[in-house]
Amino acid sequence: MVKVENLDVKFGDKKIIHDVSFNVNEGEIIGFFGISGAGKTTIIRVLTCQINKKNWTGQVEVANLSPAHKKNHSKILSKIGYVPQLEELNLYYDLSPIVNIETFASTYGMNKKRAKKIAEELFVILDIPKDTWNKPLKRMSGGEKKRVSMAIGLIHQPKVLFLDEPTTSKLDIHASRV
Amino acid sequence: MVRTNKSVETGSSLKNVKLSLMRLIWQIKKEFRLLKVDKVNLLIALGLPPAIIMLFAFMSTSASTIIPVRVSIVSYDSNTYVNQDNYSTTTTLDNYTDMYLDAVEESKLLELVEFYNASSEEDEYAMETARIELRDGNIECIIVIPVEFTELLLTGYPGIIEIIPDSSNIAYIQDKLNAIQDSIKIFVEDNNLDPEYVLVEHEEHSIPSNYNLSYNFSMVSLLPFMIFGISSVLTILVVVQEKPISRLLLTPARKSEILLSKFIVYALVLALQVLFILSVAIANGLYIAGSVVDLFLALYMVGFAGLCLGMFISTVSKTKTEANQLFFAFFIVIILLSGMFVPIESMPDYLQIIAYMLPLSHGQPIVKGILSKGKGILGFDFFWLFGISAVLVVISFLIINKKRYEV
Repeated sequence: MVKVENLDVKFGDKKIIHDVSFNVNEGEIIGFFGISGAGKTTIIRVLTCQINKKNWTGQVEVANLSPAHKKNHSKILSKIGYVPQLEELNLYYDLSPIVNIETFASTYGMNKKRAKKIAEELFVILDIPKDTWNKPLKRMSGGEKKRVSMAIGLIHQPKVLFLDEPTTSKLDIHASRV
Repeated sequence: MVRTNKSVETGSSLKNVKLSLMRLIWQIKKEFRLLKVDKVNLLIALGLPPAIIMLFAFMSTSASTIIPVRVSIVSYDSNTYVNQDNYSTTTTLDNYTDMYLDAVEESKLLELVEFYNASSEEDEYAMETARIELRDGNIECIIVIPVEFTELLLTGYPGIIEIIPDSSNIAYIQDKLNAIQDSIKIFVEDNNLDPEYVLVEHEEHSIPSNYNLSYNFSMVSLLPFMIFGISSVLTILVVVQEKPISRLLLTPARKSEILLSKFIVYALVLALQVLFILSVAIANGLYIAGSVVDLFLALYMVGFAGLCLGMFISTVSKTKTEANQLFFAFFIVIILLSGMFVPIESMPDYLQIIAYMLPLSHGQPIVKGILSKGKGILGFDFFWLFGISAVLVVISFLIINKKRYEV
């Protein structure tokens, strides 16, 4: 599902990643561990088409498509989910969780009805209180926001889900479930 | 014992004051360091005000120089008369129209753009042509020499000169009258004429007497200024403050789609804004010589140029503060060079070039043309505004496509 061979990432003269290789098969869960600045997020950025090809070398495939080619980006992005470390990058705080979900779901071509149905299922699984679904996100607790962010990453039932520091600080009692 | 406790207390409160002072000094140092890092803001905060004053000084340098009033003369005067006794025609050698023309050319306060001899068949539509020139702003005043001008002067009657000033800008009517008085003074002195002169004024493009003059006069400047300002302010933060854009870009959504959606939404909001503003203005007694639809479209175009400027600032800025500061810098220059404070014609040539490139310098003439002169929307100013907006839209799309978003 994800194939990385001899990945090097360079910005100018600075080498960020050197010779990284790994494979992830369907159904597998893997995690990156490393000190700050080791390049964990950079690898995810290559896999999620955020880094220009001129900055990296090696063989990379995500859902059998290479991020090296720009024409593949849209296809790759429609098959992956992403939950960033900071919720503020993922959520519209003035809108409700349902509207947030609908907004992101629409980018995958999902209609409002279907988006709402999946969102409600995910909200139940992620234990997001029902009385908060239609209220502005800014009124929710940190943990609830994090879980809405997770729901956004899962809304289109992606083949690959990237979680950047998913259990830090705000997932409270749900961290172990993640 | 009590004294010792007191001295301990005094010592401790002194220590607290000292600590508090130290903290304050460190906070101040930190603020300076933050300011130093934010170079764009620092430059705008320190460099912009002096730059504005310098700009104003440059604008005003040539403001005291005389800008002659551009006039066209339409003469109905004829030096051929019918003799009432025997119905024969007489031609005198004196032609006071030519002499008055010399006086106009001699006057430093007037610039003769065109002379029409309406008594000849060649210039049969002289007045109509002159009126079109007046409406289009190519001239500021029409001087009409009546049919019996020379005859009256020869027979010792007071001379009559009719003038038709462009009264769409009431602030400058007196300047035009003074300039014409100057030409009459030269004419009298050069030709040693005794008779007094009667200046008959027919105001063209003025506000009808049943409408509020000061309200309507203010609206000519206020409407484009307000709509341009409001539409810019509304859009300067829409891109820069939307943090989830970077996450949206990890879906199949494209940068151009995100920006286009913003343009569409704010363009619709602008339509409502213009509709509300116009409705309130009309309800309060706005005189519109032209078409209301044209006025709506003109104001919409002015607002759209403002919207495009706001979007451009929002895409080019890295932070909200930078966007606000950049907007202030742009807006102040646009306002200063719009002709509201100093007429563009009186600015130095290089500033005139900049002024005519800016949107608001074209917004006011369109609105004024429709409100006071009954002109249509299509013309150079409209196409210029359209062009500026198109350029800003293209630049905004190019910038956002180059902009790096990372989650």
